[in-house]
Amino acid sequence: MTTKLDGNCLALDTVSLSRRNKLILDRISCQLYPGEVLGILGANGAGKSTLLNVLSGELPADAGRVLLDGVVIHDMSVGELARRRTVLPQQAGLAFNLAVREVVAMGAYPFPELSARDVASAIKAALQCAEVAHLAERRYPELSGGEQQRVQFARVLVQALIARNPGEARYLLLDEPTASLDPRHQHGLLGAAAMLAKQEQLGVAVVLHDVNLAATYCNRIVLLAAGQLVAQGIPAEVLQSGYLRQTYQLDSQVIAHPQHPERPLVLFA
Amino acid sequence: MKIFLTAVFMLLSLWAHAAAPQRVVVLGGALTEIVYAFDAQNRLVGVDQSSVYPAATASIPKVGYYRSFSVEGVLSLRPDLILASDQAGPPEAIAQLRSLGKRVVVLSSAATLDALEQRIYGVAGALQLRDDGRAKVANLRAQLKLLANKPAAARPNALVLFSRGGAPEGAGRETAADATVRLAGFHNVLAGQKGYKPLSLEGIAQLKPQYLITTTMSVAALGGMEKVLALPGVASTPAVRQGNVLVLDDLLLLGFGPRLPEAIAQLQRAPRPARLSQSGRGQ
Amino acid sequence: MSGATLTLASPGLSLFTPLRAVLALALVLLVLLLLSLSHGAVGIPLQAMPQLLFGDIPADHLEMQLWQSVLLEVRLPRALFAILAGGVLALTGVLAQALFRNPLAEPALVGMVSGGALGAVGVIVLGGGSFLLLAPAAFIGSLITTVCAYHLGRRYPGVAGLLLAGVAINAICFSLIGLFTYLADDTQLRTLTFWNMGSLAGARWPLLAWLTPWLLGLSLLALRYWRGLNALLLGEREALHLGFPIKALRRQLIVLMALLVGPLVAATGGIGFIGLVVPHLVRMVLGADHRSLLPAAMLGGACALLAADWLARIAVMPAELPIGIVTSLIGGPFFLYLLLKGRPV
Repeated sequence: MTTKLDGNCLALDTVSLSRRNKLILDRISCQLYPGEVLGILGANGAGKSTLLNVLSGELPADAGRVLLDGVVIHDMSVGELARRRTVLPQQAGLAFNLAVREVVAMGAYPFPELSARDVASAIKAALQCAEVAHLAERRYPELSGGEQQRVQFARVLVQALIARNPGEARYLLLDEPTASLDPRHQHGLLGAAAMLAKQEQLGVAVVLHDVNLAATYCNRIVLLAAGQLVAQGIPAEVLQSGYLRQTYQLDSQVIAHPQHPERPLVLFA
Repeated sequence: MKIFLTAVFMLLSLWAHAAAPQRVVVLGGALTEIVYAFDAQNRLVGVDQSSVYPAATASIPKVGYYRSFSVEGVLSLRPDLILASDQAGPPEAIAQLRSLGKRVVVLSSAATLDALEQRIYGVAGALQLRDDGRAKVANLRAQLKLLANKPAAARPNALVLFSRGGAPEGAGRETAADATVRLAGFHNVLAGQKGYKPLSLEGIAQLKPQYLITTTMSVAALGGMEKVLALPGVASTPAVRQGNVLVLDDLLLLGFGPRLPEAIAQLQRAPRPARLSQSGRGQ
Repeated sequence: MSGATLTLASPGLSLFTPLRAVLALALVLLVLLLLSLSHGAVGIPLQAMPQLLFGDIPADHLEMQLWQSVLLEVRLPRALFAILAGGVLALTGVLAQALFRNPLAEPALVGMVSGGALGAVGVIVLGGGSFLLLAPAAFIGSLITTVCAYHLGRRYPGVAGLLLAGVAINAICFSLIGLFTYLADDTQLRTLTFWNMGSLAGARWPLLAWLTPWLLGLSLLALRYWRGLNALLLGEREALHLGFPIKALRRQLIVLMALLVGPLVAATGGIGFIGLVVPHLVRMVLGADHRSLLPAAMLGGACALLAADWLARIAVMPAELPIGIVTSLIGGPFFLYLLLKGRPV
């Protein structure tokens, strides 16, 4: 492994993790660099969400290290960490009567030093980016599942983008963000994430089930099967029927995308 | 006792110059009874909810139960004297009345003859009655002596049963009921326990009480005489089988007030088992 | 729209901005205070109040002297105590609801109150009845039951776990209180009875003199937790990712609640439902943003308990109803209504 781990990146260094004597992550090494979208793909139970949870610092690894810009992540305080990396978990339930704007405003909580004006403009930008500006005054529990998901996305955008110092790398970890979205909003959300990765030097890691969505928006892809790394690299290298069979136990045909020939298109048999 | 009497007389002479209190609030049913016994009820402007004897107390304004009376309720009646049982409270409320300049006389509620005499003297003194209570106390002593002189066979066993709306309770030692019943010449089968405790219905049969003593309110709370007699454990006692069940007015049995001789007389009116054939009588 | 209002709650009913709602509640509280001070078994005319409160009373005016002593020594401490207790009860309700992430959580329901009561009763029976002993014992009792409720309540999802844990904890506490009562001797029983019936009647200046700074100080501290409480509404993982050390936050909130509820229970006994009903109503109007919910619920709780105490004092003059009966009589049906309606708030 020749990768430099002390530069700007969020990195897993030979991380293993087991639960109830079952190995869930088996010596995984991978890096998330600012400016890229990293897709995490795998069958159900392959360890995708666990990988994301270890990457976020929420779950401690049994072996190996997690490094944020070269610093061991568990040496950082929860507050410090929240200013550097942001997590969108699957399906955030909320039983309380909060307004959409209040939910989105929570993205600024790790930055209590900011003025109300700065926070307000960050909220406005995030609401637009997540295409929920029209919902700003609605009550969160009244929204549909998809709308709630986009509001949560706006919240993590505030946290990922607000008060960023020049040259500071931030990381955004999204766990199946498209699960409850229609195709238009799936593309909208991932498109926004890809654009921000490039423009704002965000490192975005995203757990996905749709291989072709990943091929469209991810700069690099990690394939996981039974806790082990099957392949990692740019979509054209990783999305091959051999790797895909290993990952999903399913035969597939990979062709060039009719409109974007540089991009692979996966057709499962 | 002598010291106490001199103390009372000293207090009386101190108060002699002040006007006798005309607006009195009483906290505690036993004390209300004493006020009536002195025929001084025209001075009462308020009583607590435990003052249920005599029936005329019903028309006097109530300031709540004496253990949780309302300070402002008492004040609103503009009393110049508050007569309180030492069970009246909360203590903050008594302190508050005093700090507002009200005269509060607290009298012991202990179930002893000494304490009863103190209550009688205390009420007479506090009300500055012409009758200082000595005649009443002498009369009381004479009556009690007479009752004690009655030929008592070996002390029969008695069970004192209560209910305040819940499961039946038995009166153990150091209760007013126990004191009254002992004065009447009974042996309290629950003397081994202290205070009022829920009754172990199984244990009752073992104690073989020859008398069952209870109160009107308890009978009502337990759902009538038939229910009381049918209580498991109680039903098989000699007391119930022979029909030796005595029901007394609550304040009469528990108050340890001026009607103590009457309570004792009522208890003693029951035929003694020694001379009892099969002619058991219930109430 | 200015930046400040942007970050505050945008109201459910647009008529009430949080600031306006807080001001309105403060106004209602003031009116209730005047009503409560002027009504009672002793009738005090409203127009005499300023002179009674601030002026000199002619020495020969016996009527006014009675009014003044009733006002200053009986009603005023009691009204202030009601305001303080109501505010703290509603505040702890809000804290419990955020901590348990359940709008039905309430200090009495999850066993905090019965735990505090158990501590206090235990001290009365085993030791003495001094308030300086009662308060810490009640705090420890509250703390233990809250920790138990928290860990037991999480084992089942939704309302069920919390309610089951609350039922079990309350049952255990009440049976232990029963056991202590059984063991108590006569004088202890008398103290217990007074304590049980205590309610707000124990309000006296010396008690208020140390209870007020204690409860107000801790309440102000609680107000500073609004960000963490909001984040908890999203979820514990979300709160962690937002930078709140979740275990420490949880621990701090539990201790804070026990420090508030314990001494209050020691002073008043249990007063139910304020902590459930008031936060619920405030959330219906203002939303669940704790930045406005915490102060508004405190004011609302103060209003509610002051009004309940006023009712308790004037309903059966010259006697009084126990305040717990009044609050439960109104709060109980409301709780059922919440359960049946099952609407998120």
